[in-house]
Amino acid sequence: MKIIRAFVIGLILTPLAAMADVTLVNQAFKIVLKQQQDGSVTEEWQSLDKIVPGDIVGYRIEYANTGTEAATSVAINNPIPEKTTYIANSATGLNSKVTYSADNGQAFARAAELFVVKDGKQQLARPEEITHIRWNLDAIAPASKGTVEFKVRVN
Amino acid sequence: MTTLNRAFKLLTGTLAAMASSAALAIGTPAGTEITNTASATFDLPGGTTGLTKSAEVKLNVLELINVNVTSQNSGNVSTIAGATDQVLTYVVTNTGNGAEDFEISLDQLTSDDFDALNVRLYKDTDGNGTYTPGTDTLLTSGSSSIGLTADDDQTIFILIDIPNTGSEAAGDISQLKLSAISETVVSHGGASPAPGDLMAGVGSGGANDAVIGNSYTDAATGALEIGTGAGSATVNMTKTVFRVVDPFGGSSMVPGSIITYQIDATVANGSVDNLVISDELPGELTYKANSIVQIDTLTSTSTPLTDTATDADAGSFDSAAGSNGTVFVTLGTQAAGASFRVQLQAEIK
Repeated sequence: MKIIRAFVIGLILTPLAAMADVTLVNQAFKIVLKQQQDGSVTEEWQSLDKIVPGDIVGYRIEYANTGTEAATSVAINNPIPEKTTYIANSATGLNSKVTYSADNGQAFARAAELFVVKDGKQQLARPEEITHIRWNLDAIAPASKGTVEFKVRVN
Repeated sequence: MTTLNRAFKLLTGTLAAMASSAALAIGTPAGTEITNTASATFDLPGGTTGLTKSAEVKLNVLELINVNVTSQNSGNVSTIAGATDQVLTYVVTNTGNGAEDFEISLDQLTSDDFDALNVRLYKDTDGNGTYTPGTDTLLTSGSSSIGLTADDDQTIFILIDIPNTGSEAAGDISQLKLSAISETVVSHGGASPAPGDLMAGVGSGGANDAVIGNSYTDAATGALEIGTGAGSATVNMTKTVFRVVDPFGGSSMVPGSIITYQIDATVANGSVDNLVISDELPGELTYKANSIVQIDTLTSTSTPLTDTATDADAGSFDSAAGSNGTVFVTLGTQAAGASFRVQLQAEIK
């Protein structure tokens, strides 16, 4: 009888346990360029205590699959926050393909193929015209995690 | 011609001021909350689709304190020894992102040739860009402050008298510096305020804290130069058609219509000597004899002026001056702020 009961519970739980469960943690950092003793300049991602216009903010999005199965065809989306401007080429992520939108997330394309129509002419979208970033990942394996990030300047 | 040239300079000065303030526009207001949420879509085994969202990240934009001071005089303002109420014009702009009070002070530089006398500081209360006696507010250097919202600007005048000791020579220069500093930085920035310092609890516009900007204080220098001109005074004139009466009692411009012209003249930025308003009539008009009227701009009382040049009143008409006669109103020495209204009539030929 106990065995049967366990089996029943198992059946009920199975659909849940088998799910790929992706979680996202989004964190903001203040980016400060620091000159090192050897003269080189490195970027420091500091915790945020004060933000004023002109500051550079880095967003780091940590994804994790806490489920037992792989999540496939993953698309992580992040709009460029209001009152900020995307900094060109700052969106990165291991094993991901980065595309951008300049029309509030309707269409996405690589930066070199993202066009806007201005005065009847098609032009490459400039960083300040980018509204959304998307990172495409083939799959997130169970119990694995990673990060993607991008930077903006506070207007 | 001199008047025209001066009026033109005044106009270009205003344009330059507008252009410079537009270039300084600064961004996100203090107290703005910047929010960000990441989301992800993914496929599950079995073909269903999952969606997940991150928690919202909130950033609060603090007040950034910055100010810009510019001199509005293009080069040295020309003056003469003994001139009074000479004006230097400056604009203070809040280039930060929140409302802020700025303390205003002036200094006479010591590296120049002479010091100005009777130095006064005025705020352009009526916002017309020129010093208006009796209207613009007197400030106390080092203690008066002006409140400006983000991007807002305020014109400030330094008024001075030029000494007349006999030793002032052409080319001698007196330099005056106008400075503005954030009152928040003065009160809370410590003994040696540094850009980037956080001042807790004193932000404006909903921001809790304020951050000292690279330009929490700024200054600009203007200069007066003796000898090359008649001082900083300007005379602004406008001429309008006050009334048209045609021979049929209407107001059409036809041969025989009588046009009443009105000329307004205002003295600004210092006193002038030998002020003469003149109006040369074009060939299409015939001056109507004894039609000059001076109107007191305060009481609106009209005083007819005769056409005779040799009598006591200010008006005259000289039929030999210009191609078709010229009306003159001789007003002599006049102080800054003096304004005059003159009307005259002519008939369309």
